[in-house]
Amino acid sequence: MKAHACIMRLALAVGLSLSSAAYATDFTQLPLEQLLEVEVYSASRFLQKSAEAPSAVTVVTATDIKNYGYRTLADILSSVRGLYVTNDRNYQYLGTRGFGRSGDYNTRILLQVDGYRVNDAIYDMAAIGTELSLDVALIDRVEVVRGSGSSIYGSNAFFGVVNIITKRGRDYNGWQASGEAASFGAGKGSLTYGKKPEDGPEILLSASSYNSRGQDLFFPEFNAPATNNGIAQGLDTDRSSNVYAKLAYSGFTFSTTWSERIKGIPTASFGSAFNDPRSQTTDKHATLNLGLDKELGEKTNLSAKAYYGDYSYRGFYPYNSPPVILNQDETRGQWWGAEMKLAGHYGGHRLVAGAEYRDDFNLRQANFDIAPYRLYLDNKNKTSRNGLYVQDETAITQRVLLSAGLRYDHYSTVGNTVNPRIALIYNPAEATTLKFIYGTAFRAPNIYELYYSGLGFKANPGLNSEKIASYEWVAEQRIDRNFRLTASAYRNEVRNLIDQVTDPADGLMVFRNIGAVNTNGIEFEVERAWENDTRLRASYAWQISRNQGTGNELTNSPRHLAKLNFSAPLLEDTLRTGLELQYTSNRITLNGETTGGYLIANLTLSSHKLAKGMELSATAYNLFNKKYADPGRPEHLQNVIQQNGRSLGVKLAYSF
Amino acid sequence: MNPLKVFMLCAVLTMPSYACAQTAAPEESEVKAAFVYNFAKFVEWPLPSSPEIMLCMLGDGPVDEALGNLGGKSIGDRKLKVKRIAFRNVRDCDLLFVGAPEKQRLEQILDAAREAGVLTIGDAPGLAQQGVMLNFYLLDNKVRFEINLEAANHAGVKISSKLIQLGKMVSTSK
Repeated sequence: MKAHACIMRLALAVGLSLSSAAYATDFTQLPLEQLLEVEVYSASRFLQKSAEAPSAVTVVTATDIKNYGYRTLADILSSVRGLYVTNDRNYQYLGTRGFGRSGDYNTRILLQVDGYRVNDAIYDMAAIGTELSLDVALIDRVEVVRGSGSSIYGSNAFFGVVNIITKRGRDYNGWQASGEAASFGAGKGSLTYGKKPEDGPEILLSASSYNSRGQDLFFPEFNAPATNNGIAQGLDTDRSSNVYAKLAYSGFTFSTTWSERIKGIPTASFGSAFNDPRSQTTDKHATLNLGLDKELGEKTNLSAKAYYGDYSYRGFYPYNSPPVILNQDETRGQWWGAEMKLAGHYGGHRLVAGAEYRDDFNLRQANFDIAPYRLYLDNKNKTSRNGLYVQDETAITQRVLLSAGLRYDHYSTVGNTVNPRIALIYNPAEATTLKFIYGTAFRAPNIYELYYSGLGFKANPGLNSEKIASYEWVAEQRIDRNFRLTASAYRNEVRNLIDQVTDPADGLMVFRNIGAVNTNGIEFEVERAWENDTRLRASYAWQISRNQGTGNELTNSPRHLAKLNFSAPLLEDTLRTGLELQYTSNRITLNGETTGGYLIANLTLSSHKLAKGMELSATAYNLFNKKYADPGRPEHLQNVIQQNGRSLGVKLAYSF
Repeated sequence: MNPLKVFMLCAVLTMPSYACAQTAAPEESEVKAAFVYNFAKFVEWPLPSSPEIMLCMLGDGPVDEALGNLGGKSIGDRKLKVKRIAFRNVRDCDLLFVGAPEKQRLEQILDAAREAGVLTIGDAPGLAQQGVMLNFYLLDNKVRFEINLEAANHAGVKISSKLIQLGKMVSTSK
């Protein structure tokens, strides 16, 4: 058996493809009917690290993205069991298993594109809205890996890892042009070219641009004649552009991304003046990535990569002093890094070992008033980190698989940390799998938390990493080959949580390692597909998270989340319908009130059979025009922020 | 618990070793190759049969290695031979695995294959609609295939009812 076939077993362990038949078979001896039943794992997929982290994984594919009209990664993640997204009309924030700290910038989820970390170097933010450096149309699949992942991935893999795998040139095999139009004056255009020549590099090039005028929004907190009666006029704008290129040739893959997003801020965040059209933030991401995958002999696979990243942010905040003074907040982070990983199969053990180094060589944060010029913060820093990890997986008996991993990390800012992970995977019967997973994870404080100071803020260079220990039990039952049930119970214990608090001594905001949170939760999921390609995925998640200091339940932490995704062909396969339902129960807001629970429905109709190469889809988002709101954050005067009512989007793509 | 202790404990626990093959999920390419082998059993070619069934591969792709392993296998009293070709030599082939070729190239390949009565097998979305006779796709991590019967008929390749029952019928898009 080839070494990489053993890696497939990991895929099994992850639960992407659970099948307990013995496959030491010569497949050519199987009759066709049986071949049709064999679950396979595509070679391209195990290159992702997720395959090495036995866990409860959800996969959302390009087909789902089309069937349900997803426009952003946030849309995709909202459909996933146990996840929820909060939108403050500036950024979108991901809540995971009851943890969606108001004020946090998606730091406790590691986001990777093709195995490269994309959390930025200043705020550690995983961009999931229009500021993501990748057009959603280029996504082949998204893997959501729950649980502590620091034993392989290091920092930020706190509650989980989101892996985006991009499409390849051969998936296009030519040109594709697409155009979108949506409510609130939104439009998007993109052009993509992909090809895999018989000899020569496989290539994928894409550029896209999005523009949304947005709505005029009413905020009752500002309902006074001096503040335009609470109406933020034309401020919910969003302009974003992405460029992406990928070349792959004989084991080497080079990719580069560039993106810019300019978002108007309608909420007068951070105490800025209301309804001032200058309020906006700009986020830019640029990356260069070079990777090599190579078989070293029969048993060992080497993967090596080097990368460079550049993130910059600029925010304009007008303050009504009076007169109105424009304050500028800006950051830039530049980093490079390299990683090497060896994976192989030696005498019943599947071993992975890797080493990683990263140098954040330019980290700058500045804050100043433009005119009259007044400087509040100009901080320059550099940091570095390195990590070493090893993981072994072996079958203890024919029915029990054990995976154990350990990673050591050293940060120039906070020193050393070691994080283990153990997973036991037991197949008591052909169609049944039980897993137990224990692991710890950490998140090192970011530069913003360590060094940001200025108007009302002070730095705390003494911050330490926050830590989590997580325990999870998973049961998976296959009813038939297209019908799967999953149940999971978990407990998370978070300690030294980095929280922003006001120092009573001087009234300044500062980050401290003071939080302790315990979460207990259970989740259920049903997935089913029928022969005519009708598909169903439904999940329910219950959890409760308590602050161990106060005994209170966390803010922005819904106890119940339910999701339903149903997609089916219509009119003899000429049309396809995708119905999505999402229920989020009430959440406590920062002032102790609650937002109401809500159920929203999204409906998509799509067709790829109108004409050759043509794909057309239309989606009604929030079909029943449900009025709902997300909790506000510390930077908002608003206790809750209203979300969009019913809106429509149409997309046309043409391949040639 | 001290993480190092935990790790040591695991190291001890994992001492017994078993062959990996016992629980491995098969690679997509191996299963596809097995399908190709089966296809050869369930088609009839327009030309008189020789002692060898020639399986040709164009370009290179992820299934090549697994297809190569089919070489030497018997189908009835005929032996399967596998070779990589340039597209001019299509007429020596019985089966042609076209993988995921360039679009312009595909038309030339299919024209040549049709004239020579070669069974064409594709491995990319949309190929059957473009005139490839059998084309793989994945559904829920399982390998499925589409059949363009019209394309096979034009080439005089007869696809057995067994395949027709198991595949998904598609027609050439105009």
